[in-house]
Amino acid sequence: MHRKIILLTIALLPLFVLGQRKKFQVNGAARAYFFANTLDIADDIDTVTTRAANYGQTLLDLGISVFPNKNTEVLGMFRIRNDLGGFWGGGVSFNVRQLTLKGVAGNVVRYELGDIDLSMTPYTLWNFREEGVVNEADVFALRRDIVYYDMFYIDDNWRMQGGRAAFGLEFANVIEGIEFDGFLTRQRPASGTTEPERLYGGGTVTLRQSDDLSLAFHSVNIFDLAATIPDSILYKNNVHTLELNYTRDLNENVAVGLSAEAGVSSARYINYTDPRAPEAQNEWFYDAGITTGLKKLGITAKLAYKDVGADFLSPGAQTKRIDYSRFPGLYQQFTNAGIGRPVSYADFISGNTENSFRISEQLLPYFSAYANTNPYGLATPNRRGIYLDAERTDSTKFRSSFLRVAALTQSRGTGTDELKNFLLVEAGTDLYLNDFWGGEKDLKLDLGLRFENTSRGGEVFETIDLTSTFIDAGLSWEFVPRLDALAGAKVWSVSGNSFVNARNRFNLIENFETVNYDFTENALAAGLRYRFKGDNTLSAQYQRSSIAHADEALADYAISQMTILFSLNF
Amino acid sequence: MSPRQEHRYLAFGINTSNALKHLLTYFLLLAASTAVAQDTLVKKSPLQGFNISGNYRFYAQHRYFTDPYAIDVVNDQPTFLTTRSILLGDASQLPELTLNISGKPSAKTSFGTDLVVWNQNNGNFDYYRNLQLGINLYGSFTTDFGTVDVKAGGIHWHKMTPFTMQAFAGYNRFSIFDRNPWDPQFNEIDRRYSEYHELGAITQDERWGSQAFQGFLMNVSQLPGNFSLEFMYGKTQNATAAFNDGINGDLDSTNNAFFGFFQNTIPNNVIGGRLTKNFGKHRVTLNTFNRRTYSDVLATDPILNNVHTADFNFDFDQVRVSGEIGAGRYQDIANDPGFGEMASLKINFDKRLTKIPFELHAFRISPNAVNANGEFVNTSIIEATSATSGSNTIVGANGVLQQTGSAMLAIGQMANNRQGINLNFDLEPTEDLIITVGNGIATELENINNKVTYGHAINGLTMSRFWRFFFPSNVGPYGRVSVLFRGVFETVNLTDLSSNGTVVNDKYFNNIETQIKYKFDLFERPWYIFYLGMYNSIQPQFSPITVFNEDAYIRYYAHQLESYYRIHPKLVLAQYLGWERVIGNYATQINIETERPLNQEGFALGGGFDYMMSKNTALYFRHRYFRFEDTSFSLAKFAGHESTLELKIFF
Repeated sequence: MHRKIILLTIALLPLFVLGQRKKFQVNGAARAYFFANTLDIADDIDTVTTRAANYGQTLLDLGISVFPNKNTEVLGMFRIRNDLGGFWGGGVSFNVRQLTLKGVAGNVVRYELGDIDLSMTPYTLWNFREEGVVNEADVFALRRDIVYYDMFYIDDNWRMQGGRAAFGLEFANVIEGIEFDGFLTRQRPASGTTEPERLYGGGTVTLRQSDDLSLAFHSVNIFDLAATIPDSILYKNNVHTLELNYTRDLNENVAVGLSAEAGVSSARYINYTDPRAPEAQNEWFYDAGITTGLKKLGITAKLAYKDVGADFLSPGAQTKRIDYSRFPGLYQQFTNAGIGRPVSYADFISGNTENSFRISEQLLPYFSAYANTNPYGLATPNRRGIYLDAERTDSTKFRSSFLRVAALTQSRGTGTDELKNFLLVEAGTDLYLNDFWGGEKDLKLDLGLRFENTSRGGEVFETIDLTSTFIDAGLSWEFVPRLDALAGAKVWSVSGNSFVNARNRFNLIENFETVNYDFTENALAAGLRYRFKGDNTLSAQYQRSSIAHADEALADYAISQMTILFSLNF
Repeated sequence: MSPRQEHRYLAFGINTSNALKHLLTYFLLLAASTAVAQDTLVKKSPLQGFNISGNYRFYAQHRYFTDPYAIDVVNDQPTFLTTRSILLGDASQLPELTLNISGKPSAKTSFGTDLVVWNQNNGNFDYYRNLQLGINLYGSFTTDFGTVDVKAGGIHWHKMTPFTMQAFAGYNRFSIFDRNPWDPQFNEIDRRYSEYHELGAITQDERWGSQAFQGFLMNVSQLPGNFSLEFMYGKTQNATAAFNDGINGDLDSTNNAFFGFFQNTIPNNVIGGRLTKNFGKHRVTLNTFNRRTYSDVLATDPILNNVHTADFNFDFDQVRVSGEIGAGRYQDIANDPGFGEMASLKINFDKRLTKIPFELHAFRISPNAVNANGEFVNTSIIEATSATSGSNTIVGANGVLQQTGSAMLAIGQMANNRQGINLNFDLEPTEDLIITVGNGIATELENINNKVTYGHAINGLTMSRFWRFFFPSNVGPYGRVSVLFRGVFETVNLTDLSSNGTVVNDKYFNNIETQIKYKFDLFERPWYIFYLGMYNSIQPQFSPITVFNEDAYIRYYAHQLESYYRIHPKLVLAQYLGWERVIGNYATQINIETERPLNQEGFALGGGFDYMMSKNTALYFRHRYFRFEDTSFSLAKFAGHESTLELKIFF
C-alpha cells in the first residue's frame, strides 16, 4: 500500500510542476510540531509512570489538484510524515490523506466522489463542537486547529467516503428555485459474520421562495445491506426533518424572522438475536423560535423552544468528537494501581484524545461534569425547554460578543419519575483594549464563561445538584508587528453529584452510575506567536494542565507541556 | 464545505414561468439544454515556487574473492564470505532516485523534502522508499530588534563549535578514487579533481563539519551592538529516538496521534545556543550545548552531557587566532566526575609573514568532558545506555557513541583525555605543485584504556561492505573489527599492564601526513597526480615525530598514489595504487598460535574512468584489486577484485 502511495506520488510529481501553470496546482500544509511533557504526580501514589515524554513530528501534506477540464478536479493529497528523532528514514510514514473527484456534469449537476465533507442541520448531520471551548484564547486555539485539521473537523462537517450530487432549478415566479443535494456514503464494509455492509445516505430538497423564505426537507439514513453477511442482522436509522427559515425586515435596522426545524427519527434492529434489541425506536422533535437582527447594534438573536424526544436518535448529529470511554494516548495509565487516566478537555488540545472520525450508531459516553445540558449537541435526546442565542459584532472594542442561555428539562425521567433540570449560560466577548486608546497593534482580551447547573428534586436518593463553572479567557498582544505574546487560562470547577446513564449498545439505558464531583481543572498557557503572511504561524508555548480533587482518594496530577509549532498552509 | 456552502456553486440553469405543478418535469427537460457554464474549479492561491529537482543514480557492484574473508568463527570453524557477490544499489543505503521537492507558501516561508527510492533488482520489485533527510521548514522575519531565521524539522546540517556540535572536517587528506554517493557532478568532467587539487590543507571547505540535526533552530541576527543569538532544540543522530515501524506503520489518514511510531517517548534531546559579539573582523561567542536523556523508563535518572564554552576568532592581517575554551562533563547515575577542562587554540600564519603558511594547533580535553556531538572522540567514559533505545536497536536508537579505546586518529582530530600539538604546512612551490605536511603529537592525560584502535585507509571501504547494511562492532574472525559508515577500525588489547590489570604506561600518539598534489598537461590535456602518505604510531614514550621502531605499540603506514587524466573533454581515466602496513609490538596482544603480534599488509591497485555521456549524465567505472593479510593472525586475510559501475543523472 505504502509502496503504491509513494510510487504514485513520484510518478505524478513531474506533472505537478507543469501543473502550476493551469491544469495542475498544489495546495496543502506543512508543519513541525514538537512536544516536551512532564507529568507531575505525587511519588507516594505513583512510582511506575514515566514522568517525562518527548516527541514530535514534521509532516507535509501535498495536495495535488489535477484539472482535466475546467469542470473537473481530481484532488489527491499525500501525507509525508517524519517523527522527531527519525534519522535516515526512521519514523517515516506515507499516507494518502485525501482522494476526491469533483466536477460538474453537463454544466448542471455538481458531483463529488471519494473523500467528501458533509453537514446538513444540527438534527440530521452535524459535527458539533467538543467540550472545553467557550471563547478560547489564541494560545489554545492555534493548537486545537491542528487537531481539527488532522481530523477533518472543518466547521460542522463530517468527512465521509462516498458520492454526492447537487443541482438546482431556478424559477422566475412564485419561488426562486429548488435545490437538490444528495449523498451516499459507505460507513463500513462487511466484516466477518456480524457486521453487514453499512451505508449512509440522504439529502436535502430546498424550496427557496426568496432570500427571506425557504423551506427544506432533510433526510439522512443509515442502512445495512442485506445479504452482505450470512444471517444478516440489519440496522437502520432514518431521520427526516422539515426546516423553515423566514426573515422579514421591519425597517432598515430591524429584521425579525422565524426559524424552525421538526422531524422524526426511527431506529430499527432487524434480525438481532440479542433480546435487548428493540424492534424499533421511533421519536420526534421540534425546535422553533423567533429571530431578530438589529443592524445598527450589530445584534442577532434567536429565542426558541425545543423538544427533543427521549428516544430521538440521529447518529449523524449526535456523534461526539471525543470518546470519553477511551483513555488518552499519553499517560494512559497512572498511579501504582495502574488506573486509566480519565480524558481531560486539555488532552484534546494536545491531540491525546480518541477522536471520532466516523459517525457512531451508539451514543458515545459523555462526561457529565463537563456537559449535561446538550452533551450531544442540539440533538441531545430527552431535552425540552427554551434557549436563547444572541450575538453582537462591532468594529471596535467589544468586537465580538455572544450570550447563550438554555433552560431545559427532561421530557422523561431517567431512573425516577423526577425530571432533571438544566440551566446553561454561556457568554463571551473579544475585547480589543487597544481600541480604547487607538493603538494600531492589537491587544485582545478573550473572555468566556460557562455556567451549568443540573438539578433534580425528589427523595434523597434521587436528588441531583451539580454545578459546573468554566472560565475560558486569554490575552493576545501584538507587541511587535506580527509578533504576539499569548496567554490563556481555562479554569473548570465542578461540584455536586450526578447520575450518569449507562446505555447498552442499543442506546437503551440499563443502569445509572452515581457520581460525586468536587474538583478544579485548570489549563494555563503562555507563549509567543509570529504570524507570517497567509495562514502561516510560528509559535512556542508552555501549557500546564492540572486537576485537583477535594477527595484525597482521587489522584491529583499535572501535565506540563512545552511545544513548538511551525505551521504552514498553502 | 457544507452542502449549504456548496449551494453557491450550483448550476441554476433553468427558467420558467409555468405553474408549480408542472415545474419539475418541465425544468428537468430544460436542464439538459440550458446549462450554464461553471466557473473554473482552480483554487485562488495555489502554492507558488513549487520545484522538483534531484538525481538518479544507478549503482552496481561485483566482487570476486580470490581469497575469501572469514567473517566469523563459530566453534573454531571459520565462516567465509561467498566467493562472488553482486550488489545493485548502494550498500550504504543511498538511493537510486532522489526527488527534492520544495515550495514557498509565502515570501518568507518555505519547505523542502526529499523522497528516495531504490531497488536491488532482486526480482520482487520491492522498492525501498523513504525520505533521505526528512522534511524541512523554513521561515524568516525582520523586526526592529533583529532578523529572525527559523528552521524546523530536519535533517538540517548544522554546526556550532568543535567542542559543542561539529564534525571533524579534516585537512582534505583523503583518497578520491572511490566515489561517494553524494559527490557532486559537473559538466566539466575533471572538475572534481581540479578542485581537489586546488584545495589546500589549511583552508578547509566550510561545507564539511556539520552534524545532522532534527528539531528547531532559530538564529537572531543583526541585534543591537553587533550581537547575534542562536538557539537549537531537538535531536542529533547521537540523541535520537526508537521507533516501532515507520515506513510500514498502519496509521490511517485520520490518525492524529502526535507520538506516532515512537516506541517510547522518553526524552533524549539536545538543547543549545550561542551568543555572538562581532568586533569588526573579530568575533567572540559564548556557547552552550546540552544533551539530556534518562537511563530508566521512569525518566528519573538523567544522563547528561553539558558543554559550556567560549570561542573566538581574531583575524589580524597576517595572523589569525582562533580557539575555544570551556568545560564539559558527563553524568549518569553511576558516574559524575564533574566538569573537566577543554581548550583548543589555532594560530594560522599567512605566507606574507612566514613565507610558508602554516597552522599551529594545540588542544587539551579532560577525560571528564564527553560529547558525542562534538568533533572530539570520546576515549574515556563508557556512557550509559539511554532508556529511549527501548528494545529496538536500530542505528542511532542507542543514542551514544561508545568510547573507542585509545584511538590512533588523523591529524587535527581531537579526543578527550588527551592533549596535543599539531603543525600543518602548505607549500606551493609552483601553481601546479602543492605539498602539504602535517605533524601531530599527543598524549593521554590519564591512563585509562588498555586498548588501542586504528583504521584502514587502504581497502577500508571495501572491508566495510563485507557487512552490508549493518554497522556492527567487534566482529571479524578475531572480533576486533568495528564497522563505520564507510570504513572500519580495529581494536587491539595492550598487555603491558600491572598485575591487577590496570594501565601503568603512558601513551603517546604521533602522526605525520604528507600530501603531494601535482597537475600537468599531457597533449594539452590535464593530468592530476595525488600522493597521500600517513605515518602514525602509538607508544609509551614521548617522541617529537612518529616512532618507526618496535618501541611503538602500533605503527601504521599508508601510501596512496592516484592519478586522473582527462584524455578527452568527456573522459577521465583514473588509476590508483595503495599500500599500508600495520605493525604491533609484543606489548600488544599476540596470536596464541604464532605467538606474534599484528603484522598486517594491505594492498590495492585500481583503475577506472569517468565519462560524461551527455549533459548532467555521467558514467563512472572503477575496478580494484584488493589484498589484505595479517601474517600473525592467519584468518585475518582476504583478496579479490571489486568492480563498481555508477550512472548518475542530475535534473
